[in-house]
Amino acid sequence: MAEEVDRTAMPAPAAAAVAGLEQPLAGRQTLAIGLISFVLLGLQLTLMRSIAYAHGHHLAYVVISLGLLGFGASGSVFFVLRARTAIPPQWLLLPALLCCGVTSAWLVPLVTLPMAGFTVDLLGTDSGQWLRLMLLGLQLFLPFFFGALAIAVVFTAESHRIGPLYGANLLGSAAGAAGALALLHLTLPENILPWFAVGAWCAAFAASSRPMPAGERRLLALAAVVILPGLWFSGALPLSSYKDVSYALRLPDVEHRLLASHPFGRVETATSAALRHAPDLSLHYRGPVPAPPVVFVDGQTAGYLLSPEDPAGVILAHTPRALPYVLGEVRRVWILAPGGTPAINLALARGATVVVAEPHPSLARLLEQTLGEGHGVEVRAGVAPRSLFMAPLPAADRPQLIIFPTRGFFGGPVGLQAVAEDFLFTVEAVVAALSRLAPGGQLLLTVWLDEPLRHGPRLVDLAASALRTRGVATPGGHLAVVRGWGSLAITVGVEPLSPGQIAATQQFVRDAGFDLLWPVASGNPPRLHSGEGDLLDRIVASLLGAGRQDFLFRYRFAVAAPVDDRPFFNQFQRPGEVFADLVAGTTGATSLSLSEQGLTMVIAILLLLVLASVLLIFGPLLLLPGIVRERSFTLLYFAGIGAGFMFVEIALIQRFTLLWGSPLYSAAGVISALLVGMGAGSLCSQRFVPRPLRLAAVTALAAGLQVILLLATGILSRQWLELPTTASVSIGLIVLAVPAFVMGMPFPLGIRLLAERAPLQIPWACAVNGCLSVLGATAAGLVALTAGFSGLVLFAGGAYLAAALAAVVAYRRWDAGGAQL
Amino acid sequence: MTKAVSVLCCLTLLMTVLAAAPAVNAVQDNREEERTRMVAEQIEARGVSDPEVLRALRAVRRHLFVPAKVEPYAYTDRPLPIGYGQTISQPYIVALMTEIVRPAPHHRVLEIGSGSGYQAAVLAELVAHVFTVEIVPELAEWAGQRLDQAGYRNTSVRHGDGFYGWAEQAPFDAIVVTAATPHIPPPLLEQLQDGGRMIIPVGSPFRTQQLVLIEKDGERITSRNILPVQFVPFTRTQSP
Repeated sequence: MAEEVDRTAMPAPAAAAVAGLEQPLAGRQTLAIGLISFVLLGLQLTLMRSIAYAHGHHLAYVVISLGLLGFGASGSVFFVLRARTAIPPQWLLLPALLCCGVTSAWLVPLVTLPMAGFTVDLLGTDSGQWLRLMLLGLQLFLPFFFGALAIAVVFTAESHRIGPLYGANLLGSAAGAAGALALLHLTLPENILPWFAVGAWCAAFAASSRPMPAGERRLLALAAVVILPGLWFSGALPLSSYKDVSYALRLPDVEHRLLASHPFGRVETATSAALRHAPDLSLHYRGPVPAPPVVFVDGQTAGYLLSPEDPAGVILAHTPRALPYVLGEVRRVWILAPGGTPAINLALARGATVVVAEPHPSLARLLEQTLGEGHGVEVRAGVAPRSLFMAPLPAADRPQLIIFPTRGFFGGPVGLQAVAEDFLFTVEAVVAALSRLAPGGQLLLTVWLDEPLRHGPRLVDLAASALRTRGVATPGGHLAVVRGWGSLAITVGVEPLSPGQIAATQQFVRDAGFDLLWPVASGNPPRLHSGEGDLLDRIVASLLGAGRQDFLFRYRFAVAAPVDDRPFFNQFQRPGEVFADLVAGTTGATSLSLSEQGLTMVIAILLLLVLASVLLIFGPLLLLPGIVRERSFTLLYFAGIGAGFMFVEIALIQRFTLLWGSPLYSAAGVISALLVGMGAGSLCSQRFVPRPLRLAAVTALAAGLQVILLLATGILSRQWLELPTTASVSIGLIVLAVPAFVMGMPFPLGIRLLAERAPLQIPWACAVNGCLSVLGATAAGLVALTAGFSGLVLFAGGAYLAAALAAVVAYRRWDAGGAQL
Repeated sequence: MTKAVSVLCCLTLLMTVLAAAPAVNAVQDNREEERTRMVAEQIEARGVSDPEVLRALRAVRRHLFVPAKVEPYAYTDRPLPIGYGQTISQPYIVALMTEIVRPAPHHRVLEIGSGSGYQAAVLAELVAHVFTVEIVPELAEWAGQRLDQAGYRNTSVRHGDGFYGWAEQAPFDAIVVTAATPHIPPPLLEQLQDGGRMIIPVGSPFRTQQLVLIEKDGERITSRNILPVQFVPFTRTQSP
């Protein structure tokens, strides 16, 4: 009955299209779906790496978001096409797959034009950059659009067996992610990118008819002819002139070496007489300034490679970073993610043995090569710094000093890096580090100072908050805060500073010409280093005293210490100031790029995506008035599971970063477990007859399991952290797979329900789901920034429950109430 | 007859030259109004108040220090490209840096990063001698020519790495660094006279830098962050 109503509402071509559905496509199209899903995920990851190298993670994040809108757009276009034309859906499959191949093959040559001269950091101040961004987004959009169109076509045409097809889609995606990561270990992304075009062509070949008609043969041959030159012209993306490595490469005497390709980032070195290393050097220093090889990871400076034998190798002895060595004997030092060797050299020069936790394996090898044998340095390659705080540690191995990497941006703005999580600079991480220290031990925290002051105050609050969390009533007694002309160094002791240590600190700053901001010296000596309207002295005193809350409330920027739930060390914008900053930046009233833009940029991108999504979701309804009735179920259900999945995924990655210690391993583990688990769930869903109440139950169960998993892993985190690594990873993958199995069912069950009740809406459901997945990824970042990851968990549960509610309402309307669709 | 024609020609030529001379001066001076407006609107309005500095900014013909293709924009409130990946600084920044080092007629000033030569010309209006070092050889030559053509005889231009300053001419009463640097070079601190002032944009080359004022008083060396700025680092292999 429902079908009859739908058909009478349709124009003749649309009715013919539905009739086309009665001729199911061949089963081997499952293989095509797996292949094209492999291509799309692999292409996405490889593009991310390629763009991150050429232009930074900012741009990768922005343009990939725009590109992925192709998933939503494909559903919308297919929806309109089906309703307006008599083309059988399967006729679109081969052209869509081949167009995906062609646009992938020509992607790099074509994006080169708008990408040259583009700088994402200037979006706030240069309106011309938005045009380039849109062009880039459009070019990246095309392969995803055509690939997703092929998937939507098969999902629609073969909706009766959506379970295996969606399973192939998820498993293909998982394989694509794993394959791309494996390949990125072996070669550079630009060498991999063109081959995804070949993968798309293979998917088209798999989807073609047997025996192959002449028309399809010609189409495949034509596509091959167009794809091949694209492969030939494909190469590296143009490197932004705003990357550190670009600057180095323009020096005439530079010696450049590409050392490794790695999913963590490409490692290069450059050596030039003009690339000197003198970070916040004492103004009293008159010795040589070294010009060692500079290490770049993804084109940005990671560190410097100074041999311990180099006479200038201990250059850091003349910087505020030498502070902990004047506080007492240091026999054992942990250095977290140093990126280079100067901090190691200083520790060695002070007679300490050193353990280095370097997360980038290639960089770790480089450090080992530079340091050579027999220096008492143990470099732990591929180890996330925070994981050092988790493993069991005999008392004898406890360090006297743990050196955190320097944070802040030397003289510069934060940009979109504000939205990047930093799990090493949270109250919980600093508390954990303090608990690993030997009696009398110290942590060393350093930041580059910025104006207006943001990083410095936050670091002081972080140190004090960690001490307060450990039950220290007067944290100021445990801290020494030293300022050079460009940086701030803070030592955080497990015990209060002794009078002897305070005297040694005072002597150190006098000799080097630094300022001792804390402990406050008697007589208030005049400061050597200051800024215009510099309030750092008073800020430090406020943060360490009773005026903390008042200061944090009144200060222009949000500088309170980050916690694991909101691990955004570089985010200083107050949500209430975002609109004002956006207006000021775009009208030129202030130079937004000189202060903060992270949150503003995320909101601007989200608004852009919302606008595009509204057009893609509701545009077709305007074009086809009266075609779709009772669309609230499709809209709410597929939007809920689309956004909910992204919220859950991002919340789980945060949780497992804390449990496993590494953001990258967490992302890889969580995404793989979710995709595989969901794939299995999707295959299994084929056994169930799709009924609205069943959908509601499955969706609510998925929401419940996610919330239970997130709550349980939070409550049991202390016990979890004591597990051996193998057990931690194995248990993690298993507990992730359980809700994932259930999460794999709502989409195929929903599609099958639509196939029974409203087949015309299937592509529109794909559009809604695709758009909300893209929106969800960006919105998740915004929710985490403003409400924390615990807020994100609530949003995730809420999104799935909204989908469940939509199914219940559908039941009441369709089955219980007898209303027709 | 021939002599008469020659005299007539000479007279005609002389009259033409005499008639043309005011026109040339008019061409050279017709931007004086722009300079006056530049100083009033872009510089004084932002708080630069040293009358001598303002006089120097009014006197130096900035359009002589930019490439022909950007000459029409010479007095606009922005930096301009001068080739080799370099820029001539925004007039306000030039004025601010000049005022901050407190130039005096007897001063010997070192400038690092000659660029177009404009900053050196402004300083040359105010001090005894300006020594300027430029790492891009083509720009060093350009700056030298322009300073000569503009009539500044109290300037010396040298091609070299600014990190090392100009030890032979040290000490200097003031040092003005006009290229972004990630550190404060110890040789420049060494070459700064006791009581001297150095202004230097410090920070990552491709981010914003802090304009830092260094003051040297014997063993006591102080720094003060003035404001965030963005200077272009040197790029020696780019073509103009």
